[in-house]
Amino acid sequence: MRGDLDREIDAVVSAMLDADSREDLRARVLERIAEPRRRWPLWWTFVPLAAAALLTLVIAGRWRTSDTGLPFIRSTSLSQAVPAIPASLPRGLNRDPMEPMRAASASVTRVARVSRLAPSEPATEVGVAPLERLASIDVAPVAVTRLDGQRIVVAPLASIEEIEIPPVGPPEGRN
Amino acid sequence: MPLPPSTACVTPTNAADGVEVELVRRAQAGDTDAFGALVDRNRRAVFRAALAALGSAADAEDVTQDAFVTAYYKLGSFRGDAAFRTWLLAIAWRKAIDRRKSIARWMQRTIAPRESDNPAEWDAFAAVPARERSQEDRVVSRELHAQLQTLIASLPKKLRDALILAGSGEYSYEQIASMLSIPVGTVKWRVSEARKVLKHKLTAMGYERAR
Repeated sequence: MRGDLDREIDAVVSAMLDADSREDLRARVLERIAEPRRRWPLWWTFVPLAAAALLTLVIAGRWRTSDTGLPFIRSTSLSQAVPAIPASLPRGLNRDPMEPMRAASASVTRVARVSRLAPSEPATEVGVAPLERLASIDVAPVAVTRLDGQRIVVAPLASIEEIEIPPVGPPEGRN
Repeated sequence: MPLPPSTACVTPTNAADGVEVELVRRAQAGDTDAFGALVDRNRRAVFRAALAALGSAADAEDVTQDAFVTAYYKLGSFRGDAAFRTWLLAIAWRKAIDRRKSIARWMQRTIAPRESDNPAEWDAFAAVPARERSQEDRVVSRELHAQLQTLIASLPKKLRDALILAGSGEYSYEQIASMLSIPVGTVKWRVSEARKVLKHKLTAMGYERAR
C-alpha cells in the first residue's frame, strides 16, 4: 500500500509539470537578443542617488532656514536687559562675592527668555549696546579658625540594664 | 545583433555531451543560431523548472524567456565546469524564485487571486493517464489525486520544491542540488521527508484503508 501511495505521488507530481513552453520560444528569445540591450536599469541606479541628493538638499535647506531664524532681541539692548549692578554697595567683607556672578547669570537668562519670545522679527531691528565694564570684585579672604579641643565635652554613655531571658523549653504537645 | 560579452572557451566535461558543448562554443562566439538550438534543446527542462517554482504556466513562460536571454548575455562567464543545462537551470530557478518572491506577485495574489497561481489548482489529474480500474477505483483515485495536489501545495516550500523537481523525473539529483544550492544529500532528504509527510497525511485521511 505504501508503494501505491508513492506511485500516486509520483503520478500527481509528474502531471503537475507535464507541460511545455510555447512553440515560439526560440523566436521570442532570439528577438529579445537582437534588440539593443535596454538601458533603463542603468537609469534606475540613478534614482536612489537622486533621491538621496534631493533629501540632502531639503535637509540642508531647512538647516539653513533655522540658522537665519536665530533668536534676536527686539529693541532691547543688552544694557536694558542686564540690570545695573548698584554701585553703592559697600566694598569689603560685607559684600557677597557671588553677587556679580548671580546678576550676570540672571541677565543672561533674561536675555535668552526675551530672545525666544520674538523669533520671527526682522534682523534689522537688532541693537546691542556695548557692554559696560564691570566694577572690580573684592573677595574676602577665607578665614579658618582652629577648633578648641578642650572646649568639646563628651557626655558619658549610660549603662545598659541587664536583660533576663527565660530558658527555652520544649513546645507543648511534642516529645 | 549584439555579441555576447566574451568568447571564453568551454572545456568539455563528462556531464555535457559533445554536441551541446559545440553549440555553446559557437554561441559564445556570437552564433545566435547555435544559441537558438540550445534554446530548443533545453526549453522543456527550463520551463518545467519555472513551473515547479511558480505553479503558473504564464509566469513560467515569462521566466523561461528571461532565463534564456540572461543566459545568452552571461555565456561569457560559463566556463564549462558543469553541464550547460545545469548552469542554465540554476539561472532559471533563481529567476523563478525571484518572481515568486516579487511584491507584484504578492499583490496580484492578494488583490485578485487567480486559479492558476495556486499549485493546488493545477489540472494534474487530467494529465494523469487513466488506468484500467473499476469505476469505484477511478473515483477514489480522482479524489486521492485531488487531495494530493492540495497536500503538495500545502507542503513547506523547501520540501515541495525538492519533491516536485525530483518527482517530475526531468532532473538529476545533481541538477536539483545545483538549482536549490544545496548538497545532493539534502535534496534526497527533503524528497524523502516530503513523501513521508504526504503519506502520513493521506493515511490519516483514510486513503490507505480505502484502497
